This record gives sequence, C-alpha cells and structure tokens, in this order.
Amino acid sequence: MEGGIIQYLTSLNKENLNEIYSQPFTCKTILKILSPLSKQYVLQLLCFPQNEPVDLQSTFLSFIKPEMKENHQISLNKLVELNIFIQCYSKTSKNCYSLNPHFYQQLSQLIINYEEFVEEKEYENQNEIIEEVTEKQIKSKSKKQWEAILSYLIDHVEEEENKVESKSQKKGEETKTRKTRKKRKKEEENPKVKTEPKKNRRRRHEIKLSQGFISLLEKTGFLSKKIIKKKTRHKTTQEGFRFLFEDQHTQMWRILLFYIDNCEERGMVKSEVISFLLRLSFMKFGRKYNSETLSLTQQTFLLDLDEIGLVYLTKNSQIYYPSHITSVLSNTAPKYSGNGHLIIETNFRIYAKSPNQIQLQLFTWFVHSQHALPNLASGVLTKRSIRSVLIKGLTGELLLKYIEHNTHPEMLCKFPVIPPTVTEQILLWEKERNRLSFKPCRKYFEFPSHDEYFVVKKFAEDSNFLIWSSDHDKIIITLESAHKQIEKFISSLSEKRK
Amino acid sequence: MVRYTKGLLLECDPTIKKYITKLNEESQEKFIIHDLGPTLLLINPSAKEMIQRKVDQLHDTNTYTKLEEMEKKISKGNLK
Repeated sequence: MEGGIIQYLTSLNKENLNEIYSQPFTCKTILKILSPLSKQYVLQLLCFPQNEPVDLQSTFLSFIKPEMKENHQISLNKLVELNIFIQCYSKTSKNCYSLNPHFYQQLSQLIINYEEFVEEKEYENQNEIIEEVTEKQIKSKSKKQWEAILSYLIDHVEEEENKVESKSQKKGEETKTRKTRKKRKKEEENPKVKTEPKKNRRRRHEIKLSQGFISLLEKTGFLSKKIIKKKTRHKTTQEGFRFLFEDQHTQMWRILLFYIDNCEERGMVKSEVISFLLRLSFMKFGRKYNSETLSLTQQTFLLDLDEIGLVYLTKNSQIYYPSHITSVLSNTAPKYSGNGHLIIETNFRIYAKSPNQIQLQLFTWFVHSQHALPNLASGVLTKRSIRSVLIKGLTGELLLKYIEHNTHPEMLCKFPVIPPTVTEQILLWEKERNRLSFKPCRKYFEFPSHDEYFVVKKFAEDSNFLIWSSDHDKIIITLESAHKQIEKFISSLSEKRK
Repeated sequence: MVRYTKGLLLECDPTIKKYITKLNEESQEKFIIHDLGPTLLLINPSAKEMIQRKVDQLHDTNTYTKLEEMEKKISKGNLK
C-alpha cells in the first residue's frame, strides 16, 4: 500500500476526499489497491445498512488471530485516514465506525449494476472514417514522449558536468587542453566533423516539450532556472538527477502527483483530474474512447497526458487511446520489468546491453566506460566514477536499486543479484564521502548576567538541546529545532526580571 | 538582552577538521565561528557548499585507480 495514489489521498482533506469518493472509478481503484485486510473490512461494512455505526471491536476482532492484531490496527488507521471509515460515538462503545456515505453508495451501486461499470464504453461511430491507430504506434509514441522528458533532464545535467570538469583540471593537463582546443579549431574549419555530434543531439530532441510542462518540471524542483542575458537557462537539480535513476512507476507517480497539486492554479478541478486518472487505469490498451463527452478539465488534462505518453490523442483530439503504461497507475508496487540491460561481475566490470540512448547515458555517468558499441557498452565501476554521481546528488542506495532493477535476466539466477563485494564497495565509497555532517543550530550570546546564563544553560541541558556552552564567554549553542522553546524561556525570564 | 545567530554545526573526523581549519585560514572570509572540540565546529551556513566542494576536490586528488593510470599511459603511448 506504499506510495502512489493511497499515500497522496491520505494527505488530502475530508471535503476533497468526499468529492473523489463520489466517482465510481475512484472507489473501484481504491478498493483494488487496499490491503487485503482493509478490503475485507470495507466489504463487511458494506453489508450493514448505510450510516449505521458498527462496533468493530466486537465484530472483527473475534475472527482475527491474536498475533495479527497489529495488522488490524494498521489497516483500521489507514481506512480512517482515508476517510473511508468514519468514527462515530455511540453509547455502548467508542470503537464504532460507519462507511463513508459517498463511498458506500458508489460501491453498492457497483455491485448491483456490475456490468455497467465493468468496462468503459468504447467509441462507436461507424458513419465516420476514423484514423486507425495500431498498438505498436501507441507504444512507440508513448515511449518517445516519456523519453523526451527524461532526455530534457539529461541534457541539462551535462552542462554542469562540463563545468566541474574544467574546474578540476590540473596545471599539468593544461597542455592537453591546448591541444584539444587546437583540435576544436580544426573541427570548426572542417564542417563535416562538426555536424556529427549536432545530429546526434537533434535526434534526441525529436519531440519538444511544451512550455507548460517545463514549468511543471521547475515546480517539482527537478529543474532550476537562471536568467542569463535575457535567456532562461535550465539546470537539472540534484533532485532531478536522483529522479532519473528511479524506476518508471515512481517517476510517473511523482510527476502526476505534482501535476495534481498544481492543477488548481491552472483552473482545473482537482477531483476530476484524479478520478479521470483512475478511470484511465480501467480502460483497455488498444481501444479507442471518445473524448467529447469529457468535461473541460478532463479535456485539458488529456492533452497533458498525451504529452507524458499516457494516452494517444488523435489529430483532431476527438478520440483517445490509453497507452500500455496506464496499467501502472493502479498497480501498487513496481515490479521487475524482466528486460533489464545490466550485467555486473564481481570484478567490478559492468556491461549494458541496450540500444536505448537514455539508459546508455545513465550508464556512462556511473561507470568508467571503456567500450561503446551500437548496442553494447562496457566499463568498470571505479571510485572516481561512483564519486562523480554521488557528487551530483545520487545516493548509493538509489544507485544499487537502479542497478538491481535493471539487471539482465541472465543475472537473476544469482543471489544476491548484485555481487556483495560491489554493493559493499559502493556503500563504502559513499560513506567515505559523507564524512561531514551538517546540522543547523543556534548560538546564544550576550547574556546580561551569569545567573541568567546558567538558568538557560540548565534548561537546555535538561531538555537535551545543549550542544556546547562556554561558561567564560557566556555562549550557548543548541539545536535549531529547540529555538522556539528557548526563545520562549528567555523571554519569560526577562519578564520575570522586570 | 540575549542575542542569537544561526549557525551550522559541522561534525567530522579530526583529519578533515584540520583541513577545514586550514581552508578557513586561507580564505578571505572566515567562516568558522567557534571551535567546539576535536570533531565539532560551528560554521557560517553560507560556507556549507564551499566546504563540501573543497573536501570533494581533496578526495579526488587522493583517489587513485590503477585502471585510469594505465589508460593515461596508453593514451600517451608509453605502454608497449
């Protein structure tokens, strides 16, 4: 039940939740992704008349094994958090709950008119000639769209990298740079050589991201903006860099949740966006649906989903096809994709068997690469290569997770998948870098008297805030988190003095 | 009246601390506010990134991998 939509829903307030629960598809999705025990409770309560408080303690605890009681409390808390269970107080017991009326209605409707709800109606209109779209087209387009986002972020990491490199160049290497400069000059003179890398870049930019989407990326904190000479320049932040190494499920949800959070600014209705998103997960891949029956919010949302690659919109925007990624939406946990590309050996050699530009780009970041063939790259994990990604903001844990998620099927027969020597070495390298720890704190000084200083010091000491103090100079240093309490204490002291 | 300022508590091992105090002496803007003991320093929050970067650079100069050395030699043509 971790992550994804459930986590997001718990952060919403009750009114928003009620709005969401008035839609059949959201209720259906939520029921689908609840934990088994919670599911059981919801369905049990559905059998009682609406709005009747049910004493859970007596109804449910009787058939729960004593060792699973903890689980009972967890699922109960979750349901209350989600506002699906509403606590009510009756005379007999405190532990009475009733099902959220909106949720109750939708769910009972769902059971009664099951067939109506099972499938979204397909678009049917035989009089018109519609452009037919094959599954292959949808797949390749959604993949392209998604990769456009990632490569936008990737392209803006590189700039930073160049800067760091030029800074770290040592005096001895200056002669080398001169040589390369000469080489560059030569290349400029010879246009044939120069066009090669440019071509490569253009291929990646086949699809341009819209301004709206770029500003969304800025809001998520993945991109930082700088205005230099009236031109806006983007740079991928450390957060954005970490984002690149996450699995697609997490990436997709992070983007969507940020989208939902910001949709009201653009005049869209939040609950409609959420319900449409969940509705999408019930549509079948490869079928066509009519977009004209949708509300205005949903239609604008559809355009943006088209940009992420979740749906395929036809040219006149009348018909949309959900893409194969939509099934990700109602899945709770990311699964191993089964078609990874990395092979890693105990001697730190690592191979990437993939023609995918993005995967290869990530590969060259954390690997000291040695060979690059059209669909195979090989290299060695070195301290320097790992450190370079750590400096950019990646954590060792995330990197290991990335490698594990993307291991080649051949590797799966081994356990653990990543050789322990490699895992440990990466974590050690990370630890070595994190020798510094920073904690915000406050320094208090210029106490009017020694007495006051000692009183404050004792207060800080007793509440475990004190880090350091100097009796001679009357200085106290405490944690930043304690500032409010200490400030209060000091002001109460000075009032007393008056 | 009691006054207070924001600071950053830096915890590190003694060797790195030595390096940081050296950085402080060399830099024009002193960022160490107080020396709190063998592994603790109170520093100016604005210096955090600079320190992190400098320590990273120090690590980089002390990193040695045989493989990279070999490649350097090969590119220079010394290795036959």
